Order: sequence, then C-alpha cells, then structure tokens
Amino acid sequence: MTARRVFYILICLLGMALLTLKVPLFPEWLLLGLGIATLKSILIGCYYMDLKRMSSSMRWLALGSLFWLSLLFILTAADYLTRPYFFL
Amino acid sequence: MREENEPLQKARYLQGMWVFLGSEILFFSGIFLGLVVYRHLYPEAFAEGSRKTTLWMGAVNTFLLLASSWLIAEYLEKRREARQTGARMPGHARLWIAGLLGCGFLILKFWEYGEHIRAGLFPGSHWHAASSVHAQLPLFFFLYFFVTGLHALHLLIGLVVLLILMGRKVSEKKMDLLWENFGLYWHFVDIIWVFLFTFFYLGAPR
Repeated sequence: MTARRVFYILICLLGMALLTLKVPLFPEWLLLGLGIATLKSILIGCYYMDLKRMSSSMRWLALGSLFWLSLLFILTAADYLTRPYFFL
Repeated sequence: MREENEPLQKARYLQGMWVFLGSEILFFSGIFLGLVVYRHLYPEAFAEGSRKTTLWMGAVNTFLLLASSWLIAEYLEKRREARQTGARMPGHARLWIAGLLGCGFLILKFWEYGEHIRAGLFPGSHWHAASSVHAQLPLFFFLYFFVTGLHALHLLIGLVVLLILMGRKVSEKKMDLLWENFGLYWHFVDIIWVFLFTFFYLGAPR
C-alpha cells in the first residue's frame, strides 16, 4: 500500500472519529474514539514506520515496548478497579 | 562507510532509534495512564473539559500532522526507489511542505492556547471559568496544557532536526540512515497526537 493510500484511509478514520461525536449509539464515546486512534496508529506504524518490512528482531524490539506498556496498564487497572471506593 | 558494514550499520541506527522511541513510549504511557485514571475518577469534569476544547482546531491540527507524516513517508519511499533504481534522489519539496504543516500545527495550537487563557481556563491565578460546575475542571486543563505542551515541544524539536538535516552535507548513504530515523521520530510524534486528540477533544459527545 502506498503512503498516499494510507493517508486517505487515515483521513477517513479521522472523519469517522468526528462522526462518533454526533451519533449517540455507543454508551462510551471515548472507547470508540480510542479504538479508531489505535487503528490509525497501527496503520502509521505498519506502513509509515515500516514495521511491515523490518527485520523480525527490529519488530520484536518495537513490539516489546508495547508489551511493557500493556503490563503497565493492566497492573494499574487491576489496582484501581479493585479499590472499593471506586464503586461508591 | 565500508560496503560490507552497511546493513549492520543500518541495523544499529534503527535499533538505537527504536530503543529511544521505546523509552518515549514508556514516558508518554505514564502520562496516558494518569489521564485514564483521572478520567475514570472524574468522568463529568473531564467530559465538560472536552466540550470546552475547540474541536475544529483539534481536527485541523490532526489533518496537518497526518498530511505531514504522509509527505515524509512519501519522501522516504521515493528515496528508497531512487536508491534501488539508481535514479536521482528526490528533492526537498515534500520536506519543506511537511515542515510548513508542522509550523501550521504549532501556530494553531498556540492560538488555541490563547483562546483558552482568555476564557479563563488556564489553571492557577488566571483561572476564572465561572460557568464551571465541576471542581476538577482545572485538573483537566492542567493536564491538557501540560501534555499538549509536551507534545508541541517534541514537534518543535522535530522541526529543528528537519531543518538541520536538510542543510546537512554528508554522503547520501549516511543521509539515508538519518532520514529513516527522522521519519520514525516524526511518525511517532504523529501517533502521540492521534491519541491526545482523541482523549482531549473526543471525550464527550457535543
């Protein structure tokens, strides 16, 4: 996929993210927006940052940071979401 | 640079850049984690804060950064093609336009800051948002100014590096490595903004 085509898809996704503000179909707008943002970042990562063409060691290096990131979020969420006052 | 060392040198450059980006990812992750926790704690205040941001400015800024990323990626595409086919290296036109789009982003961002400050939304002694019903609204705007300011600083550094690289006179092979690394940094800054835009501007229906 060329850089130009990826750009068109990214702009469509931006339009979709803006449209979600006007369509009250989803109880949690931010989650939908973050889903679209994740899709955009995957496209930028794979095609613009060339993760698709990189050697496997480099890809693991990049994915490693995402692994640590997920640990950070999961462990913190496990703490906060199990605190009793969160549900008051 | 000796011929046999080229792939190794390229791998070293890229690995170094990815290690740096990994540290940046962890740095911004801590901030995002804070944003998520505070939003979870004070959903109404953060929704009100989101509605007070200027959506069109955020959307235009997102467009500007995505377009600049596209131009940088296309420049690198053409450069790799030229390297493979032995054709002439692409000119700097795309890079100049990408840089101007980056400048446009910063101008719009600071204009938006000005509007917020005039509206009394700058936390501290300048805070006079009388319409606020949520005590945590200053927290939202503290995070907004801090995190978007940090992002703007990253973009400014990117612009300075872009100017330096455009004026640099070293071998084309060395420039290949430098441009590849610059592209990674620029796209990373773009990804950070994509999430910031979502968090601060799209946090509540309007």
